[in-house]
Amino acid sequence: MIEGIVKQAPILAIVIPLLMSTLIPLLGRKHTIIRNTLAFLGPLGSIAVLSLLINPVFDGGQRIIYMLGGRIPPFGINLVVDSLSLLLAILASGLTLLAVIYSYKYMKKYTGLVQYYALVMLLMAGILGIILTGDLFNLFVFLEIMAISAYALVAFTTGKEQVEAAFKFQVLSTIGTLGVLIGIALLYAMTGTLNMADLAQRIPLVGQSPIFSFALVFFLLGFGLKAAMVPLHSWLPDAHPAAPSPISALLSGVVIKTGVYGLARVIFTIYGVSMVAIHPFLLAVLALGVATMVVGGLMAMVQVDIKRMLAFSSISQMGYILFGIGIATGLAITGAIFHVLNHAIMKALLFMCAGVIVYRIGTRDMSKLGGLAKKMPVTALGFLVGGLAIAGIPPFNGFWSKLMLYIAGFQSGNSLAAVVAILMSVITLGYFLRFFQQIFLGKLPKNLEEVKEAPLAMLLPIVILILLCILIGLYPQVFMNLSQSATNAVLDQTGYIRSVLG
Amino acid sequence: MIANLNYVMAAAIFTVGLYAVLVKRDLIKIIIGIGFMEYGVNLFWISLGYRTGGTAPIITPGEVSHTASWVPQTTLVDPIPQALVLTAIVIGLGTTVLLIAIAVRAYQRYGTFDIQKMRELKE
Repeated sequence: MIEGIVKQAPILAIVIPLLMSTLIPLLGRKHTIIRNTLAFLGPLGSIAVLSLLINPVFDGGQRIIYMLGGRIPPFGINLVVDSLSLLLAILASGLTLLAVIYSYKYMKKYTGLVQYYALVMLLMAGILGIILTGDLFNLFVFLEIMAISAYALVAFTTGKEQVEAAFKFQVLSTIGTLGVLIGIALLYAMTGTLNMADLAQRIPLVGQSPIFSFALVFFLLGFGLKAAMVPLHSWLPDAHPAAPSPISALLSGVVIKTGVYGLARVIFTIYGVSMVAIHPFLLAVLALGVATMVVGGLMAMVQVDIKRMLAFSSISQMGYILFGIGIATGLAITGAIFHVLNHAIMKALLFMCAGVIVYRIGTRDMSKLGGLAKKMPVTALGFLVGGLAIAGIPPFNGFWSKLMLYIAGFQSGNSLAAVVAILMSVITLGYFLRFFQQIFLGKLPKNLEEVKEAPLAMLLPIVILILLCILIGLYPQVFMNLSQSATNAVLDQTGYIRSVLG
Repeated sequence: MIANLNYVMAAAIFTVGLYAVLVKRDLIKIIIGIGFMEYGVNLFWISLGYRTGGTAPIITPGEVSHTASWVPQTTLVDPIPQALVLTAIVIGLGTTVLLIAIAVRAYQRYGTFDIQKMRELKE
C-alpha cells in the first residue's frame, strides 16, 4: 500500500489539491465545515505524500521520476522530484496550509468563499506542477494555471483597488508567460524536444547558436517578470497589497519564487553553467539582481501603506536571490535557495501580521497607527521577528542565508555587489525598525483603544512562523545541508539526464 | 524571404499587440492587444512545425503496411507544435475571459474603461 503511494507520490501531490478545488464547489456549498475541512485536507495531503519522498530524495540523493501514462521519456510528460523540487514543494504546501488556517477567520466577512478556497487549491496545484514537472511545455501550462488563479484571487474582493491591480497584474504577467512560451518555441525549433533532460542532452550536440542566446533572453524576460525583477516589477506593489492578506503571504512567499525556480532550472539544468557562461548573461542577472534589491529597498522606505511597504521589501529580497543565481558558484546558489526558503517564511509572517492590523483596524495606513504593542503583543512580536530576520540580524534565519550570499559575493570577486547587498540590509533594518516603532510603539490613538489581539485561528500560523524563524536561525546547519543538496541536484546536469533518460 | 514570410508575420502581429498593450489607454484595446500577441506566438509555433509539401500527420494502416515500417513515405508536418498551440489557444481563451470579466468589474467600479481616468478616480 505505502509502496504504491510512494510510486504515485509526485502526481498525487498535484492531484490532491486539484481534486479539492473541484470537490469544494461540489460539496462545500451548504456546510462551512465541509468546505473548511476539504481546504485543509488539500495541502495536508500533499505534504503527507511528499514527506514519503524525503527519505529517498534527501538522504539517498535520488531523483524520483514519474512517467505520466507510462510513456518512457523523452516521449510523454514526466515529473522529476529532486532535492530542489521537493524542498520547494514542501515549502509551498506548508505555506498554503498556514494560509488556509489563517483564512478561516480572516475571510469570514466575505461571500463566495467556496470559490475562494477552490482558487487557493488551484493556485497550489499550479505551483506544485511548475516545481515538479520535467517537461518545459508542461511547465508553461502549470505557470498559466497558477497565474490565472492568482489573478482571480487578487481581484477577489472586487474593490476599486483590487480590479485595477488585478488587470495590471494579468496584462503584464501574460506578457511574461508569452516570453517564456517564445523561449520554449525557440528551444524546440533548435532541438525538437521539450523534455528538460533531453534538452540538456541535445543542446551541446547542436552546439553554439545565437538562437540559444536569444531564447535565454526571452526566458529571462518571462521568468524575470514573474520574479518581479527590476525593471519588470511594477505590477507587484499593486497586486500583492490588493490581495487578501493570506493570499499576499502566498504570492510573496511562493508564487514569485516560481520565476526564480524557472530561471534556475533553465540556466543550470537545461543549458548548464558552462553553456550560459559564454555570454555575459549571468553578469546581467547579477546586475539586475543588485538593481532589484536597491530599487525595492529604497521604494519600501518611503511607503505609508503597510502592505505596499512589504511588497517593495519582497522585490528587494528577490534581488538577493537573483544576486545569488547570477554569481552561480555553489555557495551562492546554496545561499539563494536558502534565502528562498527563509524569505518565504518571514514574508508570510510579515504579511500575516499586517493582515491582523487590516482585520482588526481596517486600515493599511501606517501613519494612523501607533502603540499597538500593548494591544496585540503576539502580532508585534511577529512583526519584529520578521523584520529583524529579513534585515539579516542574528540569531534569526535571514542572517545565515544573507551571510552565505555576502561571502559568495566576495569569494567570486563581486565585492562591489556584495557591499551594496550589505548596505541594502542595513537600510532594510532601518526602515523595518522605523515602521515597527510607528505601528507598535509610541502613543495609542484614541480611536484604537478598543482594539484586541487577533483571533486564535490567525495567531496559530503567526506563532508557527515565528518559531520557524527562530528555529532555523538557531539550527541553520540542517537547512543549509538541505539547500546544499538542492544545489547539488540542480547543478548536476549529467546526473539529471541519466536519471530521466536512463 | 518569401519562405520566411510567416515568421516575419508572426513577429509583426506580436509587435502590433505589444504596441497596443503599451500605448493604448482603453482596457478593451489592451485586451485585444494581448490577443494579438498570443496569435503572433501561436503562428510562430505553427510555422515551426510546417514542412513544405507536407500532409496531415495521420498515418493510415495501408500506408504503414506498404512501406513495411511506421515511417511513412510522404512528408508530414510536425504534429507536436499543433498539439501545443491547441493547448495555448485554450489557455488564451481562459485568460481573455478572465481579463474581460475584470474589465467589466472595473467599468462597474469606475464608470470608465480609460486607465488614466481610473488612476485619477482611485483616491
